[in-house]
Amino acid sequence: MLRTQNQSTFMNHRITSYTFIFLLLLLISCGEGLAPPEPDLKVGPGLLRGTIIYVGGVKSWENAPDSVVAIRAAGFLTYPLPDSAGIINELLNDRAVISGFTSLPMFVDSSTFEISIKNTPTTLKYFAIAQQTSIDLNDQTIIGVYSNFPDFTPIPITIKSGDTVSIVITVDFRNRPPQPF
Amino acid sequence: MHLYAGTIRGTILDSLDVIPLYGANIRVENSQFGARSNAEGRFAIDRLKKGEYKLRISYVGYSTQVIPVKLISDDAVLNISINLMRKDVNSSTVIVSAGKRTQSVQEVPISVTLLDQQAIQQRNVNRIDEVLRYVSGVNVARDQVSIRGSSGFALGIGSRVALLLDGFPMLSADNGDMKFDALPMPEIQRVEVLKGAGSALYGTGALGGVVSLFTRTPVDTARIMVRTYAGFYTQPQFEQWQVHDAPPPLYGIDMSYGQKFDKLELTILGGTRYDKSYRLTDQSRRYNLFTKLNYTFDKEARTTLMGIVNLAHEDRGDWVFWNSLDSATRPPTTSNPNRKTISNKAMAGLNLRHIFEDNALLNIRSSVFLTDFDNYNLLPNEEAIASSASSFNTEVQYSRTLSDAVFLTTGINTTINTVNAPIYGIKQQRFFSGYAQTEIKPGIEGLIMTIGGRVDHEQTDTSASHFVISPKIAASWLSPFGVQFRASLGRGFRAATVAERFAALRFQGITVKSNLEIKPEYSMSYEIGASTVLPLNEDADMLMMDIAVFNNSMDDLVEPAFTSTGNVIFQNVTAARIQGFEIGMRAQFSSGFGIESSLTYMDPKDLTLNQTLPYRSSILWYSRISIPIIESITFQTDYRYLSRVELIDARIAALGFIADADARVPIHVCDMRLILDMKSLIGNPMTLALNAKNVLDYYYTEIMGNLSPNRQLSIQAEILL
Repeated sequence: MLRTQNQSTFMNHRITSYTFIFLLLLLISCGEGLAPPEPDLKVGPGLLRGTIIYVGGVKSWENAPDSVVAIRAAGFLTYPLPDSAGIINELLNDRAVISGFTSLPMFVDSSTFEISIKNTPTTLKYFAIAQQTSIDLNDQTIIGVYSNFPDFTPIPITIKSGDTVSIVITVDFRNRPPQPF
Repeated sequence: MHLYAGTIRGTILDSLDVIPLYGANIRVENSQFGARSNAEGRFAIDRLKKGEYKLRISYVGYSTQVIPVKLISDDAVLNISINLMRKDVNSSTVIVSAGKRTQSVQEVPISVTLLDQQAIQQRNVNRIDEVLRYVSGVNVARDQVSIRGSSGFALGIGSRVALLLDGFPMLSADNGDMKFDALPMPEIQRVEVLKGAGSALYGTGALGGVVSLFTRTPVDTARIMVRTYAGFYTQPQFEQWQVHDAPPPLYGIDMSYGQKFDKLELTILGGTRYDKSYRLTDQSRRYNLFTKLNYTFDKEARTTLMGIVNLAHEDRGDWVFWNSLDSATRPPTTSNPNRKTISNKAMAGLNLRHIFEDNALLNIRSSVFLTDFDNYNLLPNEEAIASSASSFNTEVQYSRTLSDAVFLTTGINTTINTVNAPIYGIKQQRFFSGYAQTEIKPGIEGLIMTIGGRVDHEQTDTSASHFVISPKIAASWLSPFGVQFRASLGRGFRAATVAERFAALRFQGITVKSNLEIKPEYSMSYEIGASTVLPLNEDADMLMMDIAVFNNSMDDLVEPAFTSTGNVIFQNVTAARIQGFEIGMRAQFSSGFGIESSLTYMDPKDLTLNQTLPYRSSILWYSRISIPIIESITFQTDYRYLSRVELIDARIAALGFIADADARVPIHVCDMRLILDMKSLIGNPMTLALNAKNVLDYYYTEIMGNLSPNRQLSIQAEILL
């Protein structure tokens, strides 16, 4: 009799265990987890590819204004811009795009960047290369503009869904563009 | 009319603390007679005829006793008192944190989760977060513990949960954070997690709750334990994330000795751990040393003096956020990958307890917690983040039974935090506090009412001082039909830490500015709950159930805010409310089979912005099953589900501070282990465990831009000599 009871209890436990593990596997199969982005996802709906050429090569950085803390590429939907502190506001309010908080390569003769443009179609009225001159993000100086160099009149860039637009921007530390604010 | 009128009456008590045990099972062997003890620990078995019987008394967490009794006539009444021995000295049926005294869990008016030695040991854990991750309502992200959504993302600064080790506070003086590596994990015998605002007794930091850890109490026989483990992380399935040529290893060893010599109890623990990490340049090496001495001055153990010394050293990689989701196991390309952090922690405490003959307790506790960290392997002109801090804490507690119905707990407490750091300067934060709490039994059987409060005065350096009152009212009722009802309302607060006020640093590209105007943050929480223990049969098989509905309203929450200029400043930004419910169930069978599950649902609201409170999951669901395969082999599975964090600070993603900051998924983590009890094979108590953590190799983040560990396989051996 006791044996029968124990067997029954054991069977109940087994049934509970199998049910638990089955439910567990069912639930886990619902989640896919993180994965590195697919290459085409990195492109996004629109992609802006750029090359920065520093006139005078590596040595030209000797003429860079103040300290060189970071270099970033940034495009703006509106132009002219508010003061340099307002650049951040433009970013926060989704009215600008940047190459990332991480700096682009510094003290080089050229570099490249990519910016995924999510809200297409879009027209960036002003696209520039900014140099951060202190640890404060406010301290930004424009060192290059997408324009018919050495004329600094900005050229708007339009990016449509699925488009990849390539641009080249020239930076001459001895002949810097006017600040846009 | 009954033929026989013999009666056995009695009281079931805990042998150490002489508190009544509610729900103990009393059976007359070889008969249908039996009873359960009530809230006062009393029971009665009647309609017995004269003769000799054997009473079998069983209770979860206690050794079963069989007592011979004799009724000399058919109408005899026998009165007995039975003291049950705890299976281990710190049984999970009594707790000491909630009211700063030993009391039955059934008397506590707030939600408490208790984890005893068995529950901790069976998980084969080496860090306390591995235990806390499976406590209902608790969420752990790196070294930050959140109870019922109390914390979100705070750059690891300012814990909203208090941490105690044997009653001594363990939050650092500078960052106010927990240092998990500084805890003597192999000697932790019991964990108590109190949920909801607990500042009425515990002061600052107990905004969301309290985690209380208790170390093992030695016994007369020497206990020598050696525990060692070795394992590795499996290679990630994505090539982009593979940063090691071979699976990165991890290993460690702990050795402890504990024994009671007449009046002296001694515990020594030493250990070291190495973890190469699943991420690049993130390896760590740690050393721990823990000593506890407890001296009893008299035979009745009325006066005891306990001293503990706890040392920890850590050498580890120094990066938090990934380069990007595509290279999630690498540090940002702009950071110095060889940068390391070296840190030391030292804690020393003295605790003098004296029990007066008229049921009064004097408890004097004094401790110091020193923390120190610095960077090395820096590039030229690279800024180091370093800090040396000390937290001195002294508390005098006096508790007294004023009458059969009134129990009083009072105390005064002072804490002085001193910080010396290039990033903060030399700063001092001072707390002076007093508290009182009364527990009243108003005459209704099983009802205990609690009322109390605490006053704290806080001042940091020359900034404005703050005066905080934290009241509390609560009730607990052990109903005659076996269900405990509880209700509580209490206030919590947390004073801003030195780091939050004075930080002026750059942290992985983020510039943090100081803010001297910061005020304490507050919470007001209430909950209503019920719990019961249902015996399933006569074999001490039990079903435990608990349900709670809670509301936590928080004001002036200190959060890292991104200013319009892109800098970070800690400021009082948010009023929030988190409402929810929690259901827990645990079934434990004498056969060794066990199953438990808990579900917490929360609705976290940011009342200031009228949106979801960021960085919180709304559903936490933890489950566990333990299956004895054969007598000496047990299989266990833990499963943890947290729903996808609904919202993060969009500005972090927009500004690109952390690449792919928005990469977040629900968390599904399954841990499995096979435990082999080798005692029957080799004679000595030895356990071998095969562990698989995150066995399904699920990839997820607990904080933004930080990939959590992937699958880890290890073998652990523990031998007791």
